[in-house]
Amino acid sequence: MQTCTSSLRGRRPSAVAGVAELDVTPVMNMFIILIPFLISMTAFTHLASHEFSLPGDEAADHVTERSELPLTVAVGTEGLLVAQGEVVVAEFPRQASGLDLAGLTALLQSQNPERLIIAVDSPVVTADVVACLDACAAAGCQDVGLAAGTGVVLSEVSP
Amino acid sequence: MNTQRGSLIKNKTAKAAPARLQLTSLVDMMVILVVFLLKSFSVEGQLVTPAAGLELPNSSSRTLLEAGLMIEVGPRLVRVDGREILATSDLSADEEAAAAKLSAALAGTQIRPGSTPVLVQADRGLDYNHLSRILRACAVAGWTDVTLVVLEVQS
Repeated sequence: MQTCTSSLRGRRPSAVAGVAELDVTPVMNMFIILIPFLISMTAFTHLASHEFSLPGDEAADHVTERSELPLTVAVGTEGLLVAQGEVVVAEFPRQASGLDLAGLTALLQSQNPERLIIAVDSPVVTADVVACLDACAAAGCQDVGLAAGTGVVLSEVSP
Repeated sequence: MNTQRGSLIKNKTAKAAPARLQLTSLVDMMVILVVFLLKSFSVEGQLVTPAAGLELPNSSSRTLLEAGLMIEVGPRLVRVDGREILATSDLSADEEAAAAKLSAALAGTQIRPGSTPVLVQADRGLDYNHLSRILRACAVAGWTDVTLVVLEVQS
């Protein structure tokens, strides 16, 4: 008995208790299958869309009179101008940060127009047009059209 | 002599002991990776791959994309269905020739107009006039359903 106690006293506690070794091989196997599958199904960029319905070729000759135009948002290099027919409703000059889209959204929310046209001047970039479409959508405008330079409604944007 | 030989045998067995790999850090890394991948996992997959060399405009739109005929309008080149058709500068330099080239390219695709929409990937810095001309060419060719591809901004 004395000999047994002395031999235990000499050993390290871990050696006495026996350290449990985790076998991680099945976990690693699972990860090796799971990671390629997840990589193949991962969307690193989320793409969305703005849908248009273009009028056919015959609509190219149709010119809308300025007085007949619904609420129109003119996007230019100086900023935004909102007009109803020939009457200017509001102007939003371009700020250092870009277009005053918050002001446009607030105005459109107060006006609540049934139909809206976005007329784009040159050389406005596509990002500004998309930002205007977003502002119109945020204001709840359902029927938004894009105008060509001559006043022809080029396309209708779905909500 | 006998004692010496015994110590050598002991050393040999100590050298032959199997090396133990420390997998803890590897498992930690894999767990982080799996969590990240699960976070950006998309059940629908990605129908459209953003074109190389152009930056799509940011948008708050949540409308999902459908597959269709792809038109890429970059700062330098216009591609229809992956084929280079014309230089972007040609859209303003020679409008009629550019429209003719675009119409021919749209007519030369395997997909018939009306069956699927046209997906337009336009660079965020592109002059809208150029995009407008492409949309007009699409309308003339009979492609009236157009989808403008944008980069969804996570709010």
